[in-house]
Amino acid sequence: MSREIVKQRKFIQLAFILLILLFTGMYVSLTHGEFTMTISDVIRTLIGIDQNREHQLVIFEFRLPRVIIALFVGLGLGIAGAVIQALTRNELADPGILGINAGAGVAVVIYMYAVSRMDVSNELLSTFSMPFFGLIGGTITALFIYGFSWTHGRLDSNRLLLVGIAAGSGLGAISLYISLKMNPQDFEAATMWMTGTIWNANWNKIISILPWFCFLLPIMFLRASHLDLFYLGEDTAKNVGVSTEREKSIWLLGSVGLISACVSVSGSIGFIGLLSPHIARSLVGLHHRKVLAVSGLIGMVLVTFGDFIAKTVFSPVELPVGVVIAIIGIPYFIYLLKKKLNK
Amino acid sequence: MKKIINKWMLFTAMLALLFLAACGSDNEETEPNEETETGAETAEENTNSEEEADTERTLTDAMGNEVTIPANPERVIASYLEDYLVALGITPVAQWSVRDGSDVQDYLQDSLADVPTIPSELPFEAVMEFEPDLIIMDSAAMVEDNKYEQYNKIAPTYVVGTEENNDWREELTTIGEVFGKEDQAAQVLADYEAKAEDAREQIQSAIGDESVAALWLFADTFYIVSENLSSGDLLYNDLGLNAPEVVSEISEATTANWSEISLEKLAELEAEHIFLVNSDGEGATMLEDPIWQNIPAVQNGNVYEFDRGSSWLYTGPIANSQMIDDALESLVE
Repeated sequence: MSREIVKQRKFIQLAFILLILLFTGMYVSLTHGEFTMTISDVIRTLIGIDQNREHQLVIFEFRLPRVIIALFVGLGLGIAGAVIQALTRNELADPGILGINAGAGVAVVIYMYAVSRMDVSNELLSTFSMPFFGLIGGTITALFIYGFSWTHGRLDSNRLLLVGIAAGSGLGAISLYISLKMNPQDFEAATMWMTGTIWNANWNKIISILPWFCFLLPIMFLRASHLDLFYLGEDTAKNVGVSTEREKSIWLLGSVGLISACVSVSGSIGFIGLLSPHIARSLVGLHHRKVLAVSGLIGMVLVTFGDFIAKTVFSPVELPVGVVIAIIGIPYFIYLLKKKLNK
Repeated sequence: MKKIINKWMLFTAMLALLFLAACGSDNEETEPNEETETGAETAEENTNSEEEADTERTLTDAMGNEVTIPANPERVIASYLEDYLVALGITPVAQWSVRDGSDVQDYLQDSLADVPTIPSELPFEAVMEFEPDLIIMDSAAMVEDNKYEQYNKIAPTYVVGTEENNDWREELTTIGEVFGKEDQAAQVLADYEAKAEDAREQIQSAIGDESVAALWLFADTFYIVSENLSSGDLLYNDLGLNAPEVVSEISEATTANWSEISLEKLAELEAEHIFLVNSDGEGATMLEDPIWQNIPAVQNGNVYEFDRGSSWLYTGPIANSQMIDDALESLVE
C-alpha cells in the first residue's frame, strides 16, 4: 500500500516538473519573437492592461495561437504514439514512421486540391472538414500497413515497421506531387506537409481541432487500463474477457482521429509519437493511464520548445518545426533501434 | 530649409548615438523607433513633392477583398513587386530577399540600396516590425490558408493577382491604380512600348531573322526560357525575334518560366544567338562540354553572358527595359 503512495507521489512530482517545463516553453515562445516587445509589455497585454493595438495583434493573433497549436499537436501526437506503441507492442512504432501521418496528410492535400478546384470560398467550412478527410486517409493507411504485416495469425513487428516506412515515403511523395501541382512555385506549402510546421497558426484552426480532443481524450483515459492488457499481449487481453477486435478498432480509430486533427493543422511532424511514449514509459512504468498523460505532456514540451527553436535560431527566417524535432528524434530513433538489436 | 533639415538630422543622429552608447542594453527598444521616424520623414518628402490622391479610397482586389487604401501610403511592403514600385517612383520600407537577406533583386539595387530586407516568406512579426501602412501581395498563393486575415490586421492588404504569372503590363496598371498613379503607369508603359518598338527595328536590321534563345545555367543544369513568359516574352513578343524550334517545343509542354533542358535537347538547339545567365560563375564545367561547344551561337561567338544579378531572370517594367538595353548592346553594337 505504501509503495502505491510513493509511486503516486513520484508521479505527481514528475507531472509537476513537466508542467513547469511546459510553462517555461510557453513563456519563452510568447516573449521572444521578431517583433521587439519587453517582457512586461507581453504580460500586461496578456492580462489585458495594455491596450496597444500592435502589442495585442502580436500576442493574440501571432504568438498565442501558435503556442496553443503547439500544445495540441504535442498532446495529440504524444498520446497517439503511446496508443500505437501499445497496440503493436513495438516501441519503435510511431505514427510518423508508420506512415499514418503521411496517409492523413495525403487525404488532406487531396481534399484541398479538390476544394481549390471547385473554388469553394467558405474557408471556415473547409478548415473544419479537413480533419475528417485526414481521418479517412489515416485509417486506410493504418489498415493497409496492419494488413500487410499480419502474418501467421499475428502481427510481425519488424514487418510493420518496414511496411510503414515504405507506405510513409510513398504517401509523402504523393502529397508532394499534389501540392506542387496545386501551385508549382509554392514549395513552402509542400514542405509543410512533408515535414510539419505551425507558423501559420490561427484561431480557426484551433477551434477546428478542439472538438476532436474534447471527444477522444476522455474516451481514451477511461479505457486506458485495457491498453495495459494489450501491451502484455493479445492473448492476455482475450483471457480476461476483453473483446479484442472491437477494442483494438476503437483504439486505432481514436488515435488516428487525434493524428488527423494534428496533421490537418500542422502537417506531418514525426518522432513526437516515438520519443514521448518511450520517455514516458521509462519514467512511470507500464500503467497506461499514467503513460498516456505523461506522454502527452512530454509531447507538448517537445513541440513547444521545438517551435521556439524553429522560429528563433535563424530569425527572421523560420525553420519548419518538424525539422527541429527530427534533428532531436533521429539520433534517439537510432539509439532505440540499436538497443533493440542488441537484446 | 534643406540645410536646417540636415542639421536637425545630424543632431538627432548624434543624440541617438549618445543614447545608444549610454544605455547599451536598452538599445533594442529605442533604435527601431528612431529608425522609423527618420524613415517616415524621407518617405513623406518623396510623396509630398509628387502630389497624388490625398483621400482614402476603397478598392476591390483580385480576391474580391474590399481594401481601404490610405490617402498617401508611405510605408509600403510589396515583396517581389519592387520593380513596379521603382518604376512608379515609390520606395518601399522593406524589400524581398532570400537566404537571410543575402540574395536580393540585384538589378534594382541602384534604387533600393538603402532599403532593408525582409524574408520572402513574409513572417508576420517581421512585417509588423516595419510598421507598414499598406501591404501589396503578388498572388493569392501568398495569403492562402487564412493568412490574408492576419496580414490585413497589420495593415490594409491588397492582392494583385490570382495567378502566379500575371501579365506584367496589367500588374503595373493595377499597382498604378492602387497608388492613384494611373497616369504615371500609363506613361511608363507607353515609354516602354516606344523603346521596345525602336529596339525591335534596330535589332531586326542588325540580325534579320536569325534565331535567339535565352538560357540559364544553374548548378550544372541548363534551363531554357519559355516562349511567352519572363525574358521569353520580351525576346519573342516585344522584340519579335525568332525562336529556335526547341524553344517552341519545350514551351508547349510547360507552364514554368524556365524549364530544364536535357543535354539531348541542348544538342538540337539551333540558336544563332544566346543570352546566357550564368549562375555558376566563371569556369563552369558545363561551358566546356562538347555539346555546348557545338551550338551554332557558341561556335560563332554569339553568346552574351550575364551574371545572376542581372534582370534576365525577372519580369517587370524595369527588368524588361534593362533587358532591352542588354539586347541592343549585344545584338546591334
